[in-house]
Amino acid sequence: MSFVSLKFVLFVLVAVVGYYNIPKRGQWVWLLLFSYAYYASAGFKIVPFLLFSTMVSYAAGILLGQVNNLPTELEHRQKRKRFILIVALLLQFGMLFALKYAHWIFGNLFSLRQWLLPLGISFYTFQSAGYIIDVYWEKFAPEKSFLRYALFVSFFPQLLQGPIGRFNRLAQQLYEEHTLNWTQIEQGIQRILWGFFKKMILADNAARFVDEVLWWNNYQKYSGTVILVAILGYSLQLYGDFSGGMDIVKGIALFFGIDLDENFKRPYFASSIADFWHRWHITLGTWMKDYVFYPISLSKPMNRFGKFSRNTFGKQLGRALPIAVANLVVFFLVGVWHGANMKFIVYGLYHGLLIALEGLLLPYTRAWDNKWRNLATLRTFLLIQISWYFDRADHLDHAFALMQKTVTDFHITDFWNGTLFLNGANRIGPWFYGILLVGCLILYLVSYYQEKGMQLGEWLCAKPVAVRFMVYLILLYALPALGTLSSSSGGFIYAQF
Amino acid sequence: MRNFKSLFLISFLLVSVALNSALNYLLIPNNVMRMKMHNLETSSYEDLFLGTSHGLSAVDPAVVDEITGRQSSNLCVWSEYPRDSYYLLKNAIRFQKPTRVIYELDPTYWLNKDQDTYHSTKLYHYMSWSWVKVEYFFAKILSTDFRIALFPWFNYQLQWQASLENLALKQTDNYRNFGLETFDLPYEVLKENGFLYLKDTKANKSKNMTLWDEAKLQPDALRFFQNIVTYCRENHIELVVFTAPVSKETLELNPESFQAANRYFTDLMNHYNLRYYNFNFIELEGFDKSLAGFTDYDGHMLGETARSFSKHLGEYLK
Repeated sequence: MSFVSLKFVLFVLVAVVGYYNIPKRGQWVWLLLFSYAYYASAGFKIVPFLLFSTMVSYAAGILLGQVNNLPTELEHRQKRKRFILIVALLLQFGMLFALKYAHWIFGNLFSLRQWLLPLGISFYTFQSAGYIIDVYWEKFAPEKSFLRYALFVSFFPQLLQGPIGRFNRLAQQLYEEHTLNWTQIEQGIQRILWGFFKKMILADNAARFVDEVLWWNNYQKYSGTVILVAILGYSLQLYGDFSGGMDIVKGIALFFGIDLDENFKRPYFASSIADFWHRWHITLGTWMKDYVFYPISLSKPMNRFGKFSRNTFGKQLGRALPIAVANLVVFFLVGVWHGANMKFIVYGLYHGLLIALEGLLLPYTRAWDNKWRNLATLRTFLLIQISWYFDRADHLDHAFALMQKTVTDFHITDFWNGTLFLNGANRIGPWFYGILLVGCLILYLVSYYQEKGMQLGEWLCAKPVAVRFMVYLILLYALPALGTLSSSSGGFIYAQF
Repeated sequence: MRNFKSLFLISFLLVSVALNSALNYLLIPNNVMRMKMHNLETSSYEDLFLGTSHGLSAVDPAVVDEITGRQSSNLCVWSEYPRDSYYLLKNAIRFQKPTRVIYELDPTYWLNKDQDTYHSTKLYHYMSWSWVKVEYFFAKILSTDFRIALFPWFNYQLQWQASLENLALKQTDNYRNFGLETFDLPYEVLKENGFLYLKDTKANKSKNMTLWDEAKLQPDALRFFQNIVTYCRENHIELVVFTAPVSKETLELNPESFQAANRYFTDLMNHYNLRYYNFNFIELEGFDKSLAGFTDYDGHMLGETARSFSKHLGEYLK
């Protein structure tokens, strides 16, 4: 059930109206029913995978909790806990591997992908795995009720494209009783309208041009300049699509009184690649930091490597090197998370390498970056654009071919001699150029004020009713008036993961 | 507070509905679907043609009727998928008692998902209220992009320059009386009983087309075709199926694709025990299959080619 379909609009409406009109103690059950109904709407055959992931992590949590309470020696408990953790994670990631990656390594012989790839599997697998590790680390006691836990894994707004939730921040909100709060409903509407603005007006309009130029071998018809503009368009498309989707998810959750974690914080304002990952797909970044980066950094082999590198390369470099290695591992996994394709691995490693380099060069670049922050932001933006070649291309060779053409067939004059309108861009027409430019300006202004710390949602809520009425009406009518239908309109890019 | 919020919400909805209606009136021009639905409700037919844009531009009921001696209507429209055909047929049966349905089968529409098409909302929009309309809403409209479903003017979003023209047209008796005069355009003319006569504009002939790939066959297409078969049998209506010819240049470009489609649909129609004519593989004496008689490689016929084809079709339907 696509977020943009009328069916989904009515589905959410029924869910919200029912949520506040049933006895409050049953609200979480209501949400669970709607979450499974939502998932099943994509096909009953994918539901067992969600159930499997839920059951494995639930059982692991219960077993870990029991071992925690055993009156035995710590070492004995640790051994049993480690065994449970390893088995549970193997089952979780084994399912993900079999469905998403096995075909890549073994061909179709050992792969389930030939039959299906359940929607949102990467998101709920990571969410469940995070829960198991947290219970293993005794951050909180395991959830005893299977149904309540099942809601944590399946909460429908976030099921397909995140954010990847953490049990200690999300679960209590899901289970507690909520009273209708009009301010939250209004803030939810604001987020949803803003999300649709980014998706339908920015991402979908950009997609029409991007898809035309970058689709398979189409790029051969266009100059390097047009390809570069298409990559810039893709950066807008991807951001509008993914962050717009997150705004819609956050808005829907707010209807139920639930405040999900932010997944984006104006990533193109980042002044370094590390900063970018604190602003882009934040919940994946923090997941990787907590469950991969720190365990690797604090592991015994890495400690030994740290001592070795400090002795060999000196204090500064010696300290930065183990962090660089851990970052490379993390971003290799980030790449793999995106999909079974070499282009994603190179995408991840590219980011990992840049972050490692940033860490190593930090002592020399910090002062310059602080002084010339805007230039650092521009540098980061350009470095990010290079990574979008890998992300957008159909495969690795395609990415390199696009890069090669960008460099070897680049003509600066194409920017003003009309080539952009004659080739590729004419597919979307001058109207859409105008819409994209105005849309970008609005996006920039909103992001700028948010970056300055302004809470635009609250600011708008405090305005007179007539102003809000007009703003919401304009935003609503802008969606059909300025939005478009493109090949990616029906769905969201990250819902494929 | 709560009353105030409810008032805000109701006012917002009312203003929104009013604005939406005004934009629909201003931006949506007179269109073929409106005419076809009107014909369906006010005339009487023995034969109904269902199908896609190929059928819309290939079947002239006036020519076919001369040969068959029956009364027929062309209900084919752009992007009419089997799902749309099924509900269009059910809606037609509310007003008509046809003894035969002739389904124009374009394999392309069996390969693509039938979501997010503007034309289905037009069909929905011009259906008068009935359970069929409600069924169609749940079967199709509910799953489309909410902008297509709720804002029918979305398809004409950038055609503001035509709004005054639309406004003027909608005040005329010609429009109110469903006159055909407004459909005489430089590139096409809508004729009696739903035939769209395409004029030769000498424009470049587009090569865009979808080739047959059985692996991409949509289960919904099969399901709704099966529904059409069942519905016709239950209502004692004969169902005949045909595929309109494409140009010989198109056939020469992708012969395997057309042959594979023909094999698949011949088997399928045999399975249902239906008469099936694939005119890509039937010699029609005196019918010029050269590209000059088509607007594109995909197979949309020019008006005169369509009339020539309709004579042959009439012979097969006699």
